[in-house]
Amino acid sequence: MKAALAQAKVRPLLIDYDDREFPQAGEPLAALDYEAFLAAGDAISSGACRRTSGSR
Amino acid sequence: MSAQTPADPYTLNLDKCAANYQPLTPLTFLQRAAEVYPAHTAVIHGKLRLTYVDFYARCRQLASALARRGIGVGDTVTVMLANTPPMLEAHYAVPMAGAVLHSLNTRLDAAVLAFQLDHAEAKIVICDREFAPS
Repeated sequence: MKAALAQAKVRPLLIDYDDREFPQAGEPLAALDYEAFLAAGDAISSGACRRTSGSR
Repeated sequence: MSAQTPADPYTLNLDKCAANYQPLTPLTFLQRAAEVYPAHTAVIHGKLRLTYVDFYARCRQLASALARRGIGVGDTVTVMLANTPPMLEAHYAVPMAGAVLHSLNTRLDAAVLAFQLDHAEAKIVICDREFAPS
């Protein structure tokens, strides 16, 4: 992926997924980790999905 | 059309709206699964287990994170992942954000991947460390 990104013209935001279940030794592309990126989204409590179904 | 010509009744008042047109999307499958089978196992990955309610919550949180980065309709999110939980989450979260999921083939060479990144106008790339160096 590193070589592909170097050849591409686009400069996307890079997010690394670090698989804790099957650890990989590959050097991360960027400083942004998948779990940290996900955590930046609005957290939704488990019970919230039931309340959203009221419109159907 | 002149004022005298009667309008075709089948073209009147039948614009797409919520009452007559609902796009079919897998996103509703996940919402329903989380409502009907909240405690059922949705994801098994090594020792990790996610129930449907947790999986749905994570997908929505990822969609929210994408939206906060300005990802929306017309944008492309590229992933370079094996069959791991983020791959599943991206399949729901990216369309939830209104964007297009672009899943790269892990067997392609760098030149072809570079072409795809440019052609797709990738805004975000999520990459497993397994595939990062090559």
